[in-house]
Amino acid sequence: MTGPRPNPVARWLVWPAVQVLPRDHRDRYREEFRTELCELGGPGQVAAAASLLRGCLSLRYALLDRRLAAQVTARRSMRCRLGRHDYTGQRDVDLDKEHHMSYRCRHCGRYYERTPDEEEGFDIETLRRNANFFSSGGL
Amino acid sequence: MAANLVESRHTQVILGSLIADPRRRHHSAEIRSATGLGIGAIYPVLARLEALQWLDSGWESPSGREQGWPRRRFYQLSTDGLALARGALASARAAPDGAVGRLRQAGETG
Repeated sequence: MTGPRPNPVARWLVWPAVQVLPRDHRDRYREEFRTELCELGGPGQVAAAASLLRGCLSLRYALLDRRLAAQVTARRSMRCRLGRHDYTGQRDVDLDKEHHMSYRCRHCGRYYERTPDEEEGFDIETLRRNANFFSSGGL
Repeated sequence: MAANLVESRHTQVILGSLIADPRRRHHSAEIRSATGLGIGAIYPVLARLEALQWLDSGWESPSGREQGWPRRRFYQLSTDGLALARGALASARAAPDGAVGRLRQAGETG
């Protein structure tokens, strides 16, 4: 391996931090951690390596978290992939935006920042249903 | 799940720094200096955001660095991720903070 290398103490600390990660992610994070440490000076490298070691279990759980992948799959329903989101309105708590409503897709969680009638194919029935809900004191 | 993730202060700080310049590709050292977080706290958040497809990441081209230097990995908010992150951050900021806020809200409605 050519080029700059982290000091031995930092390398010694990072080695177990990489080993606890899932096998197919180790090469990527080994390289990322090395880059990160090389950009720091000697004492900074040791502190950063200790920080990486402290965070390695959290990183492992994040990489193995199947709920995240499941959420993405759920979010990518065919309707959403075609851009036919099912937006529902909610009152914005921001006091600077009086009467402002924000719209969020019930399936994928996507927020819509413009007024919903600007989007092609917006489901007017959803808008009508929400208007009835709010006017009847639903919140 | 995403809502729980954005409730975390670390996630909010990191998303805030990415949203500040969403079209730019950020590398982890930049995120670290912009947020002031320890590097060990940044990677788990980035990994979760990447798994949610809010972030795209990739290695820099070999010509982008001096000979022998290891490559850096860049992170950038995806188009969907930018919209989702803005909405989630707005909701998180509007929500009452922590247990005290929830108790206060319960007291007002109860």
